[in-house]
Amino acid sequence: MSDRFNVAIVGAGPGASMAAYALAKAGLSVIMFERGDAPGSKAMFGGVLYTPILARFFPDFVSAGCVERHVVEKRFAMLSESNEISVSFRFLDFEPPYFNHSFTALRARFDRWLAAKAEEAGALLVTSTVVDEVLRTGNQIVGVRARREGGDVSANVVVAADGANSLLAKQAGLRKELPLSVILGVKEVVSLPREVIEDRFNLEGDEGAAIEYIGGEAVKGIMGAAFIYTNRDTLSVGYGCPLQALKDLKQQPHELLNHFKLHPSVRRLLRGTTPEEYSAHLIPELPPQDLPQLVTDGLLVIGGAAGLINANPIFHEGTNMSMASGLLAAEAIIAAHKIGDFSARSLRLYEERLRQSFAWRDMERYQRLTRMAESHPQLFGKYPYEFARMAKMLMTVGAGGDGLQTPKRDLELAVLDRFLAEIGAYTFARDMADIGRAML
Amino acid sequence: MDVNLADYLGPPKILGRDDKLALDLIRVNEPDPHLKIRAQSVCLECKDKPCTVTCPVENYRVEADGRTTIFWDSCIECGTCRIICPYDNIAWKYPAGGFGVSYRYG
Repeated sequence: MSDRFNVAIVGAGPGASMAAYALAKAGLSVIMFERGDAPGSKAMFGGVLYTPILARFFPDFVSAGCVERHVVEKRFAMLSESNEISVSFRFLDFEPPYFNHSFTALRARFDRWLAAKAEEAGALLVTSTVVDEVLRTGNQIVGVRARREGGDVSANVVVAADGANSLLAKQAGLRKELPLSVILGVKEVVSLPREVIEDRFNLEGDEGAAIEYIGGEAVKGIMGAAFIYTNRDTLSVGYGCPLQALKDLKQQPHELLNHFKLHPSVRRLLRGTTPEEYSAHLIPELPPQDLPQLVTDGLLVIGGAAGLINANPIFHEGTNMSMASGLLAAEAIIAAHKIGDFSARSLRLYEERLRQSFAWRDMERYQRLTRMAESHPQLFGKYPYEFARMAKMLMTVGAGGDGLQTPKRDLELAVLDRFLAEIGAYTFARDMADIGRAML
Repeated sequence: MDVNLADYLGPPKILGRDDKLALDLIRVNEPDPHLKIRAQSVCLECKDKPCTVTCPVENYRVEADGRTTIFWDSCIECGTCRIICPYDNIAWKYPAGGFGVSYRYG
């Protein structure tokens, strides 16, 4: 293996592979390091993959089988101890082959497929290799040190694409330790025949469903959300909660997953399932002061390593933002090679373009909402339980005092009393205004 | 394949910590623990021990004598313990290349 490359990429996830592909296509020599035995072997996400960027470069990705099902239903639910209220959006008129550019996926399969595309374009993939540090000449980063014999590799530019933990960005001095606002994602992949999945989730063929359970009993009332996503012949079942909230809850994270699976309303969806894999991974939800420096002399930070995530349960995006950042990093690196300047000043083109893109703008916008949510625990605690209870009160068909049936007016007044006593009109209006303000 | 729906109506299979871990492929690099407690004295002083309630595979246990033990060979490399430790008392690095957890689904 030559020890000199135009670009060294640490990581082989979607952002890394997208960057490697674009760089190799532009004729640059690229080496990509994966610490697992194959790309994707250390990766985990919910997850749903959003694909406009993927389709632009790989129009045949759907038929290539790298994704699972296209999402036609997004359902948002709140659970109390034994009840559920939910709202479902079913979109059945998006056109094939990309539908709404929302596909359930499994990372071991997807990441390996995308990395192979980068290899076909000419990038060199080195697996089973950990990169612990960057090499410097003065302030300029000039390569990486892989944890192996003769592991020093020189490169004009290094791309830190090493995911949520990004020890490389930390080692290079671009960020401090991650804060307790980072989210722990915990998941089981459980198997179920595809016919049963389609029957149970009201799907046809390769259609898929994504169900988000926001706060409430799904996560024992702490900040966070649980989920069920349909894959071809498996379901992804899990949750994500900030470490701070899990620390305060003092329950084993794997038991919290069992608690979710055993909820009366969830259990029915999971009948007959057998766990195939258990996984956990950090989701880098970072307040502004904890975001890393994105560019330094000879190095760029992309994807999860750069804190690119939209952890809002309505959207749950990240891998698409990684791919966007990988692409923009590649464009900046190609421009830097044209002028032979690999300083931060030259590479800052990446940061400028990234900040204008959906990836940065969505992250910033929804981070504000997350910060707001951190100071409003009732949105995940009290509200889901109370809303479910009030809905049940309103819908309860009871025998009336007259031996017939309770008039609706009595039910409505009882619900109103409950609302005023347990939540309060002022508190509720203030909380809604706080949500609105965070979104402005 | 003919699928009989009736075969899939039983309760979901719920697994404990050990059975969940048994599903995962983890290659252990025997001579090289990638997680270490820097100083037991710090753990002995630590009241909350948040590592013991946040590790998703329950790899942190407090022994009878108060010492904290890491079951590093069943680590799935999420990074929680490194961040949760209030005293930065866990030396945390990735396992050697090709070792550690290898997800088949992910």
